[in-house]
Amino acid sequence: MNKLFEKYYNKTLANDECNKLEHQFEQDRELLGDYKAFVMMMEHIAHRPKTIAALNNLNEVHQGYKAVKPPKIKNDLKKVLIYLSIGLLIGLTVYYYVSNQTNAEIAPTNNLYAQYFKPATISLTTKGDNQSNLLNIINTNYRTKKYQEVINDFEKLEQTTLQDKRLILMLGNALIAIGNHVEGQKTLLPLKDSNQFKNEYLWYTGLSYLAEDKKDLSMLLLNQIPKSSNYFAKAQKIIAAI
Amino acid sequence: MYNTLLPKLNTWIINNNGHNGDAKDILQESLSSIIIAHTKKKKTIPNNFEAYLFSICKYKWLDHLKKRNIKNRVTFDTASIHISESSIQEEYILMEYEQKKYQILERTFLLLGDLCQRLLNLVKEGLSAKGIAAELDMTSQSTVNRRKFACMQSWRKKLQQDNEFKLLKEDE
Repeated sequence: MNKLFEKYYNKTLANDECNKLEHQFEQDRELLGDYKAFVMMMEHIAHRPKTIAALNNLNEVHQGYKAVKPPKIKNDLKKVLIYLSIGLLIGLTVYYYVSNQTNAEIAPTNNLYAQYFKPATISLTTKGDNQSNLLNIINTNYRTKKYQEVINDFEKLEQTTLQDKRLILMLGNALIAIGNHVEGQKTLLPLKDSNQFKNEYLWYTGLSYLAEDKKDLSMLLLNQIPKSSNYFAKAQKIIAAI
Repeated sequence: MYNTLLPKLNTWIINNNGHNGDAKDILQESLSSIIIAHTKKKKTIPNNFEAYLFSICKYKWLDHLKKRNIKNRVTFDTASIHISESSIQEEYILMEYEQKKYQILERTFLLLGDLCQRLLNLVKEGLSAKGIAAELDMTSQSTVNRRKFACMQSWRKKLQQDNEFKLLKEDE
């Protein structure tokens, strides 16, 4: 059977034999399994020398790094560090206790999101074409916060209409508003390079990450909002609260 | 890559239930996975390789935590902001599959006798049956062919007896 497999694998099997074997594969799963194993083996031998060489190379580098141990700290210095750590720990505990008493509580990220997320106000202008009716419906539904309906109606829009950045912002906001953050973030992504809507991208995607408790990402985006933007002050407040 | 990524990875791992030294092993394992997957598929290395490698390391570390039954919220994403997280995750899963497959094939290959190993390597180098016969002191080309098929057969048997291989096939 190996001979047959080899010919089939090398594409040197005659047409009728080839068809016969393929028919056998369809009927006999075990035979197909054997062939798959054969292919795996052939591929393994083909790439083995290159892979082994690269892995050995990597291993050498790794062993070199493993051999480097962190410098030993002298005993006296060790003691000083331990006392310092204990002092610091006590200080931090006191600070934490006092700040908890005075600052009441720090809002969790989800509360911050709820506090700040307000879908963007977007006004669509229609051109009187066949998409106009649908756009008017979407506009009304968006204004009346029927976000799920907005999302459903977007599926009916033509691809060219969907390129409109205001519509992208609207759809992204609707998705975020219903809690579909992953899709919302994906939808807003094309605004990243838009001169007009970059700040909206940073603000709403940043808020969406906040809702997902991805503080690092949220801060990364909110921090990029420029001072000149309306979102700047709010973004700074969120960053401070995080 | 060790010099630039290791300190960053070390900090991240220590912040996520790890210890000093874990980062080196995770980086090594991640690079091995990438080598195995990329050598075979001949894929191009992503432009932002450092961010890509950092993401792969993070998934590796998550797997380690899972195996150690540590449920932990890890801070993610800082490096992979320019790479779609879902595509990295998908690639990581495929990479893990390829690595497991590689390990099983290599392990079973090394169970073959020395002659079989040498013979199969020569076959793949493209040496003719006549050349292989001369190289391995075999009497004829037909002996080479007979031995070759016997070696492949023996390897396949070892594969099929391997428990991890059975699991891998079930996963497919």
